[in-house]
Amino acid sequence: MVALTFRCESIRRLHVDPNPRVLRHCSDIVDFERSRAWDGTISQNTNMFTQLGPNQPSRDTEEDRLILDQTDFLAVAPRLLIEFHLMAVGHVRRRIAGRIREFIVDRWEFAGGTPRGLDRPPLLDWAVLATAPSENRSSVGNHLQWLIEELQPKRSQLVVALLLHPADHARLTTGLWHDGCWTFPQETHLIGPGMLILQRHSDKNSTGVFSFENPAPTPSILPSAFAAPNDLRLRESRTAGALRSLYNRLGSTSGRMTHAVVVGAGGGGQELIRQMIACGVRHVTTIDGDTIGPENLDRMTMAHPADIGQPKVMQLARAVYSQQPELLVHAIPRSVQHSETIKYLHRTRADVLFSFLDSDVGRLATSLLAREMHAVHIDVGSLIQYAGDPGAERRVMSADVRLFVPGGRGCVACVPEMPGIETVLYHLSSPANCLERGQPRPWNTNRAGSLLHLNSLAAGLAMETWFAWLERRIFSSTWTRLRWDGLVPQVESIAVNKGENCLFCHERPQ
Amino acid sequence: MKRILAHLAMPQVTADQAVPKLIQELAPVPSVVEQAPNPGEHVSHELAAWLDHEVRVEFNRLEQERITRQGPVAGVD
Repeated sequence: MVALTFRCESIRRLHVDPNPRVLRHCSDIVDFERSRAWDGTISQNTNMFTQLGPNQPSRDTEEDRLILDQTDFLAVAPRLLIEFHLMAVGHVRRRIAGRIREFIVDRWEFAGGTPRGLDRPPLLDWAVLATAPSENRSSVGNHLQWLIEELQPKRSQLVVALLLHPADHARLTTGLWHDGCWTFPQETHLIGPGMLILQRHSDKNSTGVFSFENPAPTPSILPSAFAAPNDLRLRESRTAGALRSLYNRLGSTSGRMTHAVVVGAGGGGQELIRQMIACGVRHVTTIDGDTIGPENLDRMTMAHPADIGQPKVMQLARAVYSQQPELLVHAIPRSVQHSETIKYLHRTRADVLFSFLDSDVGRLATSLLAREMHAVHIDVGSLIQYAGDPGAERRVMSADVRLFVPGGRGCVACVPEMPGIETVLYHLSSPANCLERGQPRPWNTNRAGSLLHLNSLAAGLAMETWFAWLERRIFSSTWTRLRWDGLVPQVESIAVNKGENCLFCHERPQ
Repeated sequence: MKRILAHLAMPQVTADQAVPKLIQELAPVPSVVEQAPNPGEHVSHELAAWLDHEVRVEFNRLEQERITRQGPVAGVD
């Protein structure tokens, strides 16, 4: 347990005290960017990281982003809209994602009276949610200034101010008050079912109040499609027709692209990424420290025998990029618990993290990173075993898809309780590249084998679970289990919540 | 009228291009108040729909609590 504490603390320390220069060491991370001519070779690209070095842009050019826990927000906002005199105070956690400062706000509580900054510690970051007064309705600045005069914060405190408007529920005013100045976040994400993202336009020629919701009304009017040749529009026509507004949300080239991180680039992970890109996702990060072996080729249909010995993520990135040049894909040939991967993910905003792994250590590491990022985590796994009496054994195939809502609402450690968690935590906290403890175990100790069609089915279930989350058809952590030991697969899905004694869900990141 | 004449006098603008330009030019100019940017404000009809629903639920819950606190109504057969 001592070693576990060390690793977990190290993850936290990296978050609390980010040093942009460390990213200069991420030389193994390869980016395949769209609009770059693909010449068939992989080039080491560190351009996206060098901007974070000592010559990074001044504070004026950085952006701020608000990350609101939707469930916590909606737990207090309605009452504030009924009882106007109430205010709620939220917990704020800072995070640096590239050149964007993120403020993750959750755990709202009603304040007894007006909360005062003078009663709070000098360096505190805190959030206040209130309803705007009815007078001076035309001026946002006046509303926020009114709030800050009520709160009387200390100059060294940072206040995230959010104002609801009782007469118009469509309006949400946000501002960051620090050192006597106001700044306004570029984006506000409500992390939860529906994943609402409110964006501001930076276009100076535009006028008025700006609001952009993720689902666009019609799928066929992708702005890029206007400028694109007809074959591009024809290419996306079937997928856009099937997904409608969701298609624009996944891969909009005009605004914010959905960024999916997939941990594991084996037979399952590759299938998942293939399906994801086929559905229109255009920004993907793939993470796997393994190389291609002969045993992988049957399930990795995009790999060739000549790829044996290559990192799986490199081969995958090359294959998907050559098939879809509109893609932006980052390939990280390291395990998810490797320090460079952790540093990279700590500076990234992902909309979803998938894990499709055969290791509980990687699953738990992904879960912890999703928790730190306050992003939804979808874990996928498949298993093939033989059951029955010797001589009359039958093949039993199963797959699990677990969607975990961030904010301590279930994780891979507690839904269901992870067997041998002590061993998993030991491996999670062990140094990189160290030898495994205990006897080496053959690959088929716990499974009979692996099949592409089962992985495809599991990947499809994972995609649909994610879509259900984006379309606000599910509202909580969900566990879907597929069992296939007859002609027809049986699928059942249940809503789940955190375990009673979960080490991670009962303690939110500080 | 001057603007119309100016457009008609532009030899590089074809008739097809001139008509939408004229429509744009002659459109009413938004008032200063409408143009003033409100940098901290978002408007989202999806958020409004969520809040409307949650406010209704919360209002009903508070009403139920109030009625429960009052106890049974006396004098009713």
